[in-house]
Amino acid sequence: VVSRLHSLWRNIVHRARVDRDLDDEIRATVDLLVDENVRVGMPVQEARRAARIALGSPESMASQVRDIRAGAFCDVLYQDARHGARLLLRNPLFALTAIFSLAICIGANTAVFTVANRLLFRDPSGVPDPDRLVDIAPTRADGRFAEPVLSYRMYADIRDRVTTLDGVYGYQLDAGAMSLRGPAGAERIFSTFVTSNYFAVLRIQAALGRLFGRLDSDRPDSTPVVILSYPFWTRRFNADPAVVGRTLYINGQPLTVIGVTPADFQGLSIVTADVWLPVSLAAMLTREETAWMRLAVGGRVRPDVSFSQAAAEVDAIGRCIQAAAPRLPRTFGSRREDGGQGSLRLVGASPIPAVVRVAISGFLALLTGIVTLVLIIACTNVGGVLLAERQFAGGKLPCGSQREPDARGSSGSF
Amino acid sequence: MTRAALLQGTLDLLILKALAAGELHGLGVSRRIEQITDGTFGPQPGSLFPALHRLEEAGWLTSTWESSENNRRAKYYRLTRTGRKQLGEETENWNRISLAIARALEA
Repeated sequence: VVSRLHSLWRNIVHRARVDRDLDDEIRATVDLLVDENVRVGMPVQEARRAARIALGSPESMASQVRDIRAGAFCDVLYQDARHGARLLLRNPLFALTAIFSLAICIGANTAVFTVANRLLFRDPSGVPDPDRLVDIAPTRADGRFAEPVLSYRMYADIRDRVTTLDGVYGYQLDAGAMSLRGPAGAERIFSTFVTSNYFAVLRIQAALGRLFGRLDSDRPDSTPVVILSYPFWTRRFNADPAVVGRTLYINGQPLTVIGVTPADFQGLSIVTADVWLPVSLAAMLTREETAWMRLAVGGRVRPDVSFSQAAAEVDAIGRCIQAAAPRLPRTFGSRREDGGQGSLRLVGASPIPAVVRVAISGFLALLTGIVTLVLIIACTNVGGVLLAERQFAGGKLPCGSQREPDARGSSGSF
Repeated sequence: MTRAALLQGTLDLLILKALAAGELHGLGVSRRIEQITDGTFGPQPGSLFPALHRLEEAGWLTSTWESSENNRRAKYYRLTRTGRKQLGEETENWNRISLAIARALEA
């Protein structure tokens, strides 16, 4: 293997020397053969002719040797590439069409992959130690996921009972539109309600000011505060550090800006909000009571606890809540008539709620399949057009006109 | 004198065998093979030279430019250590095959 690699290196890097060496060897062989013929009594002229006949053409012999050399395919590749480039230059319209259609297909593939990668495979950005984050999702009696969200009450129940998680947080899955009063009239912004321990459990540090912490609670009478997202802070306030402490009027209510989230933190759902609001303000800013807010719930598994231990505990808590509230018409989406044996299940944290994760993955797989197919079709098309053009050009050429030497053919002569 | 067509793979074996006694140039290898096979095989230059280069790239032969008996420069081929090992292996292999074929034909 080493000797093959060495030959490959020599053949590619010292091509000229290798070729010269081969020519010398063939010439020397001719001379030796001539000598041999002369020695048996042939006239020199005759000897030379016989030697040439015996050896065949030096060109064909050289090309035969070249074909077996390590890296012979590199030569072929190089010649094919040159041939291809010449073809494209000769017909720029065709080249542009081919490049354009291939570019669109490759672009579509890249786009779909980017979305799939972001939604399904990437950890949430800006969150330390994201491997231990989990989503808590309600399941029906048959074990299927029921809903992407839980009520705040249910969330609080889980938060207070759980021991295997380092805190349980809740956040609004979508961003709600709010109006922000400004000097030039109202402006629409998007907000996400999060529980007061959201940033603490995620271990997010403020880029400016402070984030919700121990001073804030989920109780409706807590101080009305708001946190800006980094993009919103730079866009709307020109990254002005003096914004902390200022009062913003959101949906007509005065809220104090207490901080800015870091630039790389975009929240846990697929939408990124302009501002983060504590769930305590839900009743004040929207018509929703905090207790009945629909929140996506997640937590951080304690480092000394395994995923399955935490899952078992959460399942037990789910059954407990179910048993304690038998009069609720629906708990976790399962009706009492069904036996109502719903529970809670832990799944790895993802921007896609567990209940639709399979469907979304399937859809993205389908999309990938479709764009791949389109790319294959485009390649086939370009290939077909190339073939057709070749045939057409071949048929049109008058006899004796100058044809471009065939890429492979030209390798034989030197 | 009829010349037999070379079996696939036997040319390598014959070249290695021809060089076992000492270094030779390309034409010399051809002559030696004719000599040791009593003229049954005479490899054409068109197949001999590619084979020599292939064996050299495989690391079984090395080559040097030297002057020949009548003061002409020629490229001389010589077996390497791995080439000698390869000759042993291929000889053994060939003996097994020829024995098997001979038995099969007698049966």
